[in-house]
Amino acid sequence: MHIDARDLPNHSTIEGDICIVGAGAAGISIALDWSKTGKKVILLEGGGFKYESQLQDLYKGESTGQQYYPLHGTRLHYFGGTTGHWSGFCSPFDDIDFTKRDWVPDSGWPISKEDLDPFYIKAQKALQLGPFEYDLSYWQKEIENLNAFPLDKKVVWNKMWQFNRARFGNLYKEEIVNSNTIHLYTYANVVNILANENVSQVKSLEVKNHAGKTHTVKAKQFILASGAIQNARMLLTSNSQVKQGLGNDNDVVGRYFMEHLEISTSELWLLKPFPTDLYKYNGKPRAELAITTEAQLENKILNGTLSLNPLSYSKHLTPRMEILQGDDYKERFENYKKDLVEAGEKAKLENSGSIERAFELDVRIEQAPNPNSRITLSAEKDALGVPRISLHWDLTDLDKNSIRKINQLVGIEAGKANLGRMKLKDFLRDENDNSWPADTNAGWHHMGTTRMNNDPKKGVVNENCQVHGINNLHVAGSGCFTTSGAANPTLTLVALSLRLSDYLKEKII
Amino acid sequence: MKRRDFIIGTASIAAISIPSVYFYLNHDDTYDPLIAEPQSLSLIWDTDAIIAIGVAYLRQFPDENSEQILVDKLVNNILGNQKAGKLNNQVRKDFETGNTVLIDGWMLSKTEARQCALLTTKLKKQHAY
Repeated sequence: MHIDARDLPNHSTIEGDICIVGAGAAGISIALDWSKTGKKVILLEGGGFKYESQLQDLYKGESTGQQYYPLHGTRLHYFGGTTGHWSGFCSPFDDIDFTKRDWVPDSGWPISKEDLDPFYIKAQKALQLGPFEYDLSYWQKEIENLNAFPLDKKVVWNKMWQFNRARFGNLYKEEIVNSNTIHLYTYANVVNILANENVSQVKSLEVKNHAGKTHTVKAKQFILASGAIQNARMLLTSNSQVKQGLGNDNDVVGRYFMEHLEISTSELWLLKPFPTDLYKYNGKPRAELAITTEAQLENKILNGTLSLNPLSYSKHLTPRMEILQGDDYKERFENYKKDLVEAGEKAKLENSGSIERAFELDVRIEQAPNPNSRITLSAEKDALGVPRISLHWDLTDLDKNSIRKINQLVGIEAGKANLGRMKLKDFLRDENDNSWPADTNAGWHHMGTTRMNNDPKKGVVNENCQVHGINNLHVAGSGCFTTSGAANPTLTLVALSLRLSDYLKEKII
Repeated sequence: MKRRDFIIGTASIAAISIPSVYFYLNHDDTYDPLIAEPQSLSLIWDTDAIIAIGVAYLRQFPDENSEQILVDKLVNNILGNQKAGKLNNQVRKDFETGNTVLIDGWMLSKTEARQCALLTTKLKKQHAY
């Protein structure tokens, strides 16, 4: 069922069993998981069914620290959320991502990979991927020519990926609109969360839109599923009862903002042609070179991978941090697409042979949890009267050292195997240089602002994604990640959301 | 990789083979001239690129800026004949033991980097370059 909140009489009250705030990958996955329960699901979406500048403007904010992208350019504010522009890269987190690592401050989730595995299988279906299989040996039987580089398996392994640009807005609109139990309200932006007197339970949400309507939403359970930045913003701006915002007794909300650093770091030149499709990005499952748990432990580094891209192509690309700046969303993407096409044309002209021998290696690495990397409220307000956000993106020496070491490890192994030689980019050559290039790129993966930890002093939500101290308020999505892992977040955030969904079913049904 | 591309670091692989080093070298050597040919690197670089690395190596390790010193360091620990061939094993061993150097960003075995330097020194002596 679909209701446009602009068409409701002003000051309407919307009621249901469960209320999900945000219709992106997390929110839609949970809503669909509840569709057969007979319970009334309220799904609130701030936007409509397509991109609108006026709505997107609500996501604008400012940023300091390490250069970042325009904040309204990295997320989408309409039904389907940021799946409307994602690249569809999926791979589960590794066991080590969940563990406490002495060399990674504030690491260690209160749940393990094993806890998440059953929900990864469900997430895999929601994202319409292939089987939940990420072992190289499985895919080598399915697809020809996935030959792995002969690198020491004690140091380097092949982390498999699957790809599907699942646009949730297209995939699930019909099912949700036709559902009798899911009540989708578009143009319903949450501007305030109201709790009971002792702030132990949410009573209602206040929603607004540009039509000047204000409504109230009541439910037994509430789930914030609007992305890591917006979820933190909603908690921080709900400060009419507690000055520091809801769930923020210990000043953790908004802190530990993490990204995936995706940076061109080196070149790998193969001594001889190595026929393989394993590292090719062609829409089929492929691998990135990952560092084993043992090698991470020995070198005290973060988890990360290196992906291979033909140098004949990559060298012509304009840094994303440069080309995807600017205010106009469509113009930014047009420029980006044009750049990709032009690089492809230039690569063709060079005719680098039938088998590529020179590759650019791009690191993809978790960002170390860092309380100084954070979201706060700005003094400026948006059109609905909600304070905008300010991002201070802060990277650490551990991030830089890990990137350098990952490249060095692969470079050494390539030499040992007589596979090829590696050339490090300028910014990685001096061991004492902890600075970052201006075009340091991030994957638009916002994580950690409502991190999971069973200790309220160290986390915003507990192991069940419930906000500490508020028994019917939960957070879904990558904001709950304690650490950010090497893999892109969508598969894991959907799995974690479905785990939350399961937990709430047991609680309510 | 040709010298121009090597310097800007953005080339695709062109026809790659090291023009015979013998062409440049005298015939009165007291050592096997193949010692001055880094075999693996010659698969990805041309002579000019190898010399560029040799120059950078000598800038980084000025104490080794002597043909004799480089030859000694390259073959001193290698027993028996066919020392040049055995250097390939030494290159691999360097990577295994961490005996590597970073020259202009390239992660190289110390042995192969010295081979580049030896070729450079040799050619400089002969005023070939």
